[in-house]
Amino acid sequence: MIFTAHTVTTKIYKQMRTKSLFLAAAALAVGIASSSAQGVYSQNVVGYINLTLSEGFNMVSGQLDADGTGTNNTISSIFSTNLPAGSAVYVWNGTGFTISGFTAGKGGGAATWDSFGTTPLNPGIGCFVSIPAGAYGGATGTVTLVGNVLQGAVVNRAIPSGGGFAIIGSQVPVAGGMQTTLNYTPSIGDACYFYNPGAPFGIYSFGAVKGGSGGAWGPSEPQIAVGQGFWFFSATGAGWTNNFTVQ
Amino acid sequence: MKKSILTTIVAAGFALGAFAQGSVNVADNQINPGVTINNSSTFYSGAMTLQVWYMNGSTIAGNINGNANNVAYANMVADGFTLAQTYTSASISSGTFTFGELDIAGVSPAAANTEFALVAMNNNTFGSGSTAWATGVASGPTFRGGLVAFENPTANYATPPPNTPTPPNFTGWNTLGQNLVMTAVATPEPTTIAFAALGLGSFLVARRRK
Repeated sequence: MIFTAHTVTTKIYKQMRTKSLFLAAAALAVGIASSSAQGVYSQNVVGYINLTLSEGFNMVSGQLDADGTGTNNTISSIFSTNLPAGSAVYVWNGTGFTISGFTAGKGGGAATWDSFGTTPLNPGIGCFVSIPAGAYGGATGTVTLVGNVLQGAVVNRAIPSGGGFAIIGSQVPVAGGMQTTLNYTPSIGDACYFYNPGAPFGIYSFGAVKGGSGGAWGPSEPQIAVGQGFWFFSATGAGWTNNFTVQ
Repeated sequence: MKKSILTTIVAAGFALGAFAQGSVNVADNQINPGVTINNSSTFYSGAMTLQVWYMNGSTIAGNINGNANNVAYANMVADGFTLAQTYTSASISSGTFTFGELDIAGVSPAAANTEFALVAMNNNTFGSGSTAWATGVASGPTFRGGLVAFENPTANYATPPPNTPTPPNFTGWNTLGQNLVMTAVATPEPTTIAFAALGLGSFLVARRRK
């Protein structure tokens, strides 16, 4: 198990036709709806992801989308009012973090997102979520994310085009091998760093085979959970497009 | 008063100790050099013991790389290297190992460039302490061992998130560009020992005559 910061359950719904399937380890209850009008087939798939968060820092990523474009999600739209007051979300901007706080006013009242709540947090972008001590009574809390499942050629928008570090996650709510299940084509020098609170990173890197040809993951291919965020070093800036369809 | 000063000094020492730490990624799959056996071109596959030794400071000890393995090992110990970790649980393939992040509390100052020595042995049954090398040498003629020393950056793993840095790869080893070659330990042949005894005897006789 390479991820301990949170656990996830996911449910996806389509309307009208009902089917159930499993996407990797996450159980997906699927209701499929097809509406055919003059050859137009509705592909909208909506669902939710339950993130189990701990007090302190958690590394997560959103994998559901607001409007099917994959480009209009923000910190405040993803997390809404579901985090405890005093929480903060840290989004990597390439050189540092853009930090948005979810806080109540000095005089009390409901917590709201500050002006950085409009920071983009689209599917495939990871982040740290900081939960204040005591918010969950020393235990864990569940945060539900709701939205559309992106389908088709889904592009990860977090990987810097010139290579380098970024916090990323899968673009779609599917668990499994980054290469074999989630269709990432690694480059020599790529590396995933899975955050484990209070413990060393879990490191999975892709290197050249010595005395041979091609590359290989070491110690093994990284397995990515639904809702999981992780540091990723892209050696070349090669993109990640996952051709994905719920079926 | 003295007790209070002493307590303060001890506390300060602990505080300084708490800020002294460094981490590295113990892996060679992201760099060119690897672990070879008998020569510098045959990448090793099989059971292996890998030890990571370190010494604060960034002056590369000149008496390790290039020396015979047993001489280099003795020099490393004499130089003051400290054993940080022994990996015995995994086999390696094609000279490649990926053991992951190693946190070393003794690196000082925190995240400093540090001198590392990697010691490789061709079995994983020699134990995990500083006696593993001697155990390996004593195990018989099939023993192969080697070491390589280099300077490498470290990261301060104690930096609180979200800024906790990822541990650096062995870029210093890559710059060195030298494989970690495991060879047999050179043992003096009987004739060599005989010549040495003859020489020593001649020396003692010459001294007595003077």
